Amino acid sequence: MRRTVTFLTTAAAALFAAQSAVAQTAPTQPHMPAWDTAFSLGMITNSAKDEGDESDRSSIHAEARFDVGHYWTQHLKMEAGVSFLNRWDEFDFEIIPVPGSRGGGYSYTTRTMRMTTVTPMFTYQFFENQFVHPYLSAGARVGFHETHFARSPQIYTQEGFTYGGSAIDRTETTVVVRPVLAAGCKSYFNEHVFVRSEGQTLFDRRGNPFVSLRAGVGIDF
Amino acid sequence: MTRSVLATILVFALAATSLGAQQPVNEEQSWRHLVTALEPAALVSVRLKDGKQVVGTVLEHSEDAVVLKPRTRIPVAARAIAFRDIDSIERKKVGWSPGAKVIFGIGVGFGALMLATLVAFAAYAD
Repeated sequence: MRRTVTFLTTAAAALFAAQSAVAQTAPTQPHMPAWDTAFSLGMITNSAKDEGDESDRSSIHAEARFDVGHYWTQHLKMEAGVSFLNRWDEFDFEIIPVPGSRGGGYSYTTRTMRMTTVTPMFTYQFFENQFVHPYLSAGARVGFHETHFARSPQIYTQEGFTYGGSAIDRTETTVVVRPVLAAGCKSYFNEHVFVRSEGQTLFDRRGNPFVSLRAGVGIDF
Repeated sequence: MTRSVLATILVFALAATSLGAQQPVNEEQSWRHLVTALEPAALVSVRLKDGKQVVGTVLEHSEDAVVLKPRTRIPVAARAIAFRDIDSIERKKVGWSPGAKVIFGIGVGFGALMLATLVAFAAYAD
């Protein structure tokens, strides 16, 4: 009995000593912020076809974007960004038949467009607890295209023929989802405040890439 | 005969000198001397023999180890590094934060773009 008690006491003392030694040598894990948010400005290119145009050209827009992200680990983050793009106009000419005229008449419609995008992404961030963190992201850009079609009722006279176009005033919203890849860097001023610079590539239906660039400031919390 | 003896002695003397030059240096002691010579709160980059690297401020040192406060974004506890584990020590300078450097770069880029636009506009106006 006495031998058992001695053995247990010795074992407990050894265990305590080992634990104490580990506590003295192992570095204390710092408390890392689990969330971050950023505001950035940039320029995005987009497929004109995705905006209702028939041409294959790229369209360029100014972008203001808010991002919120949650770190599951020090490397893995899930985030979502909401972008507001500048409003822009397009003009569509249309040939309309005019009785008596060989060439017909024409009318034009103004398309005023505005796009808002939501971009959910998964991000892998390199390094731990450093002042510079490069990262790679993959996700999808959901674009909400709001188009307002407007045409005034007008009377035209051409080659002696008078014709008129009917008025149009309607708004349509289309949703386009495209895959995106991004690479960027969080460069810190201090513990929590950082500059975020990012390049993003969207792929249209045919796989053509459209590049966007943005930079902004953010905070970990 | 005398010439051969002298030649042999000379060869041995040279060999001994060469051997002396190749004698291993006590690196551990050398690192200790170097750390002792550093000014208070010196920022250094320490490369360890296992390939890891630690950048931090020298807080103190003992016979066997140097105590560094690692330079991390979120502060972490100071750590002792044994001189025997050190592969190299380099001085570091405290400069701008990476964020400030990026902002400066963006500013310079934007300024250059504006200047180029102005020059192009002026050339077009003429």
